[in-house]
Amino acid sequence: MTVQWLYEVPGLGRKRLHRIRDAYVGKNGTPEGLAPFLYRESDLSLAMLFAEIFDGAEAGRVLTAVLEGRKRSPQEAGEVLRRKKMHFVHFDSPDFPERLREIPDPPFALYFRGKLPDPAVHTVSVIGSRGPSDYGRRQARVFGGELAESGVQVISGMARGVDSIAQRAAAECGGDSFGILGCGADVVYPRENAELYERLAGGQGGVISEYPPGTEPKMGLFPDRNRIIAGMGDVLLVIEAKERSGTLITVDRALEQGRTVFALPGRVEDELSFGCNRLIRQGAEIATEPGDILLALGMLPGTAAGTGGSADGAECGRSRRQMRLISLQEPEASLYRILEANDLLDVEELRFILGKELHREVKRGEMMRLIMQMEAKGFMEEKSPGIYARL
Amino acid sequence: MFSSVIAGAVYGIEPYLMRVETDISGGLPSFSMVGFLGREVRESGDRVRAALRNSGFPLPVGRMTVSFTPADIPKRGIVTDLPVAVGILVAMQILDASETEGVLIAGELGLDGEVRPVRGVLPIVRRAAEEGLKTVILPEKNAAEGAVIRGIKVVGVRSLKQCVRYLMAPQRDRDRVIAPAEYDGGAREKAENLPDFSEVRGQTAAKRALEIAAAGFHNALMIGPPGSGKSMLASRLPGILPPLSKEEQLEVTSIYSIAGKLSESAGLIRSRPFVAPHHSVTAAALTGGGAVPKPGLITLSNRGVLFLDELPEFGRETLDLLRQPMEDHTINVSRVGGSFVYPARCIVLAAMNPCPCGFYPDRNRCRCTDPQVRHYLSRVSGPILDRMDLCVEVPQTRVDELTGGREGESSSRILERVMRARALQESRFAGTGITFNADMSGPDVEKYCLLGPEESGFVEKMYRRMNLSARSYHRMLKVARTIADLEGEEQISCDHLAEAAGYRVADRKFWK
Repeated sequence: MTVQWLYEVPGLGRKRLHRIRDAYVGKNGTPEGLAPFLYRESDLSLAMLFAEIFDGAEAGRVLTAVLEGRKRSPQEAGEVLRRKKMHFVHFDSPDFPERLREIPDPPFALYFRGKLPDPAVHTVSVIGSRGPSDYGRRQARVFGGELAESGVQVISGMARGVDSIAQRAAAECGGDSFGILGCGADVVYPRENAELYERLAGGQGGVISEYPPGTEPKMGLFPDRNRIIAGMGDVLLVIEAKERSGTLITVDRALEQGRTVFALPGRVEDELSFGCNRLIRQGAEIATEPGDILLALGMLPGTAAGTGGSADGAECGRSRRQMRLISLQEPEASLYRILEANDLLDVEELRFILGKELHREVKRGEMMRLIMQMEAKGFMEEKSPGIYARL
Repeated sequence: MFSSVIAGAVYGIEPYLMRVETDISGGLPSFSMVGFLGREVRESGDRVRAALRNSGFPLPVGRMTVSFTPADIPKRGIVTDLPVAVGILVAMQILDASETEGVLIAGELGLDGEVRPVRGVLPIVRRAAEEGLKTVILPEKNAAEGAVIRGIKVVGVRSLKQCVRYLMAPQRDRDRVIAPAEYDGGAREKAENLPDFSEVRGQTAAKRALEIAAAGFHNALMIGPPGSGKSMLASRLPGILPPLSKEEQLEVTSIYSIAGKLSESAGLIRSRPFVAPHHSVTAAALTGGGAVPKPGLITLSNRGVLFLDELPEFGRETLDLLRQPMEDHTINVSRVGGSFVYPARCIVLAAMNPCPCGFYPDRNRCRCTDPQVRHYLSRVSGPILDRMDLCVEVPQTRVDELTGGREGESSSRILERVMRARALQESRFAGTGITFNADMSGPDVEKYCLLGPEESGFVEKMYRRMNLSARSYHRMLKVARTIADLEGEEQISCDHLAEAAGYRVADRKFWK
């Protein structure tokens, strides 16, 4: 509780806190007494400690900040968390994520709802464009879903687009997924992900943030948040990114942290694939299917490690789709093949191409019936009125 | 002396006849007009006196009272100069009372005695014929319009003097003074050149939807990127609509006459109206109204097409005004001047882009975020969307369709099929007052859209899966009925139902 108080003292910040902590540990051997020390000790002893760490002016500012911060009690800080059903871990808590301790500029503390990732289970961070193409959406769903089915924990930023699609797919496949937010962990942003938020906060994973409850989303906070997304994963997977994209900041952080980066290849002329294709040229691993990542994690398909997830997740996911494809009869099978060969098709195009394939005229009514059946079976989806893509 | 002359006017869109009574008596000189008159009607007194004097009829000194009956109908926005002038002349005993018997007079006067055209002539003449009057005297420029009505003599006059000369002539010589106007049978309107569907390459889906709309008078919505030809398609819809019946021609022409939008010397309007308001249109312009209520654009498109291009750009409130007319086929306007019910039976044809930039879901071209797309779509309210029976995508035309390939089907070929479907509807709805499939009410749908057991099962499955409301269910059935009619089939099949369901967008996820 006192550590939380300390963390929330305005004007300190995680970098200064780490310096204070390191100095304190250097003196006392353990970090345990640090927060109570700063809360209770006399002005003089605090001033002496800070003077050892900081330059004159800065030491004065830090001292003022801490003394000013004493106006708020640790109980008060703890009360907010209890009310919001949130939890707090700091750098020295036993359950602070081990993976984050090793990264440069580690967080000093984290707030979360739900759970923290299980350190014994593999984690993959999935990131990408906020406005992905259909290809990107589909692949985000495939990777998110199949990794979760193989028992991998999926980490991402809960942003629009790839982030939330991959996390939703993971949650729907029954896996745990963790959202790292650039605002307070009690703030739902963006609003349209409220359902996903509740699902993760409700225990199917968690929502995590290094910012105190109630922090509003601000542009400046997101790049910092990205180092945690990269840091919490064993590997980082990039689904789609334009040439200059916020996604690539996360990639840089992951490389600094020594994480393996996977990129989903795309067509060279698609703007949304520029980022990924360049990463591949620069030496990133190619992710053509979830199995590539499982292999790198030492989880050969069919031999799921860790707890949770079905025994043969990826294999199972793949073969199930194949089974469903085999279950299709003409003309549905032809329709699916046509959808696979094209990105987007309108009803007339579908009717025309299907007619060619079947060597007969397909009437509009029959076409609509086919589309309805295929939609009901979950093979295709209407993207915009009258325009379809495979699912 | 006292006189009485028959004049006509329109209240809302209802024509009625009135008597203009004039009394001249001794006493201090005065001129008063009574009978629930608006200010603009009172002003006519000044014009009439000047016109009389300038035509060589100096007014006598005395009390002059002009009364309009019935006095309980407010008279606003009407012009009755000529009947008032003739009434005064009768009261002055320049004309004999017998000479104006059975004659309806209408027209505005210039100060020099010239007779100028007025609005609403057609419905007034029609009422006069129904009331058994024998002759109407109209401004010359309105004569062609009035001549459309049979069984009544229509005389066009240029000036007050000419009018007096006509009335003074003995009955049998009158036709020699001014020949009655003849209806030319609408030979002129034939020359009208509507754009043809053969000029539109590709877009087979949109053409099909418009064909169904034309056959069953259904509302339709076209969604597609800019430049894909939505407006081009829309302007060709009137060319495949069944021609107006005699009764409908009179109805449409009457409305245009009342609105003062009938072109000079035009007879009946033969082709269906096509009204395309800009999206900055105000609510009053759309519904009609004003201090002196006039029909609005919705009523002007009665029996024709109201085309709303860039649908989401219309204010949400403006669009919501369409809800009542789209459902009841009438529009109620309540203003200070009274309440009016205008007819509003039109096809509402709308066009819109799928997102603010127009290229969604092509992610390589569209830069709109998902919330932007949703926000854009939500500018069209659910109830309006629910009334759109046919929704069809109008994709960017492929280059090969534009350059090579066959020419599209001509409008006349499509019209043939539409007319076949029209004939089926005519025999089905004989004596019920229903004209088109889209006019069917709920119970009518149950009666005329009978489904076999297989089809019922199919609809039920669809009903559950798409989560349809009773209204959308009925609307879908009506469209299926029209599709079956176009194919000349009495029984609605599953394919017809599926195609109809494919055109319903209100029940799909984009707007949910």
